[in-house]
Amino acid sequence: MSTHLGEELELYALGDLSPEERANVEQHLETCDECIRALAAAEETLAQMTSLLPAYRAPRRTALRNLWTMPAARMAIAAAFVVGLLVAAGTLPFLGVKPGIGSADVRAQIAMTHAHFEHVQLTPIVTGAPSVKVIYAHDRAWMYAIADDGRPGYHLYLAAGSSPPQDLGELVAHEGSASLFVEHPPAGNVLLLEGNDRILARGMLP
Amino acid sequence: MDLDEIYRSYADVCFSVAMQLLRAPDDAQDCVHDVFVRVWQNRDAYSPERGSLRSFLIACVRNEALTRRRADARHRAIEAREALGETTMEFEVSDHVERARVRRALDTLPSEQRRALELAYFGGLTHREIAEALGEPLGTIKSRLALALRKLGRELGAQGAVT
Repeated sequence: MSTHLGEELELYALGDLSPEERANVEQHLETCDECIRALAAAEETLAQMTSLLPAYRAPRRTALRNLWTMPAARMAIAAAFVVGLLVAAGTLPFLGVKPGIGSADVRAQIAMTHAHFEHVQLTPIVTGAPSVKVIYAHDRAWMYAIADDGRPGYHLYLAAGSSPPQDLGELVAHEGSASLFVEHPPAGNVLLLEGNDRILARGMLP
Repeated sequence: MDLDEIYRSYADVCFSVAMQLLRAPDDAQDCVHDVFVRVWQNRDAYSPERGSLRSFLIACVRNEALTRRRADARHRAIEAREALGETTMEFEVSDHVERARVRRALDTLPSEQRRALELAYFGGLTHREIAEALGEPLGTIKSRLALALRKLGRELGAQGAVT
């Protein structure tokens, strides 16, 4: 390559060339290592200028989309979120869990707090039904149910219209509470808690 | 390094860059998200010769934000006025040393170069808008921007980069 890019290289880094000019620069960069290094230097200079910008904390929702693919991280994050949510709701003591659980995931908890979540409390239908809260992502990518009863055998169902309710699974019991994480739950807006072959509580998703 | 790790490392600075140009958190988040996914999907295209991953991502986010901003004509007049009228900015960053270092380097530029670069970088103005705002020929502004960026790079290099 006999000639190198001139000022168009810096203007390219600044992001203000026309599509044609940009295409010419990119065509040159394909074959010129020296100009690639010069461009990298210009972009590094611009990157250092970011220290003069007001700093913001990015929402963590994007990262979570991928975190959810790792079961252990998923449960830890969900647990951290639930603890935070229930602390805020003043309902933590009945679950017998201590603030600090999943403390390694404080960042994740913050992330989830910033993300788009909702929760719904199921309404007991029979006396003695456990208190159940269901947390779900706005985009319905996942759902997390937690009950204040550590006995095994509770199942969460989701119903849509007149179709038969689908069993989303059994809540996993642990130390006085039980929970169930469901990734990509099926469509539906009626939540049912079943135990001993009876519907114990129900709730509506918007 | 997986996508989560990259996101955790660079999302804040990229989000700040996008916020500077788009001003709306939702728009900035969408912009950062799209860039990270795109870069991740084409990760084989990135090589260290292209510069540090940090500066590469920042450049990608900045270009994407500029494209979105310029596609949205509603922003233009307001932002141009803001950029011109804004001589001081509020900072929330904690790295005062780095900020002071970059500020010092910027202050070594001839005022006409610094002004053009600040309007382009902080204001996101196009070269044409800068030329109109400063009443200078377009070619002059382009030359000033290129010279400013080169000189600033030399100054920052001479002062020693803090990463």
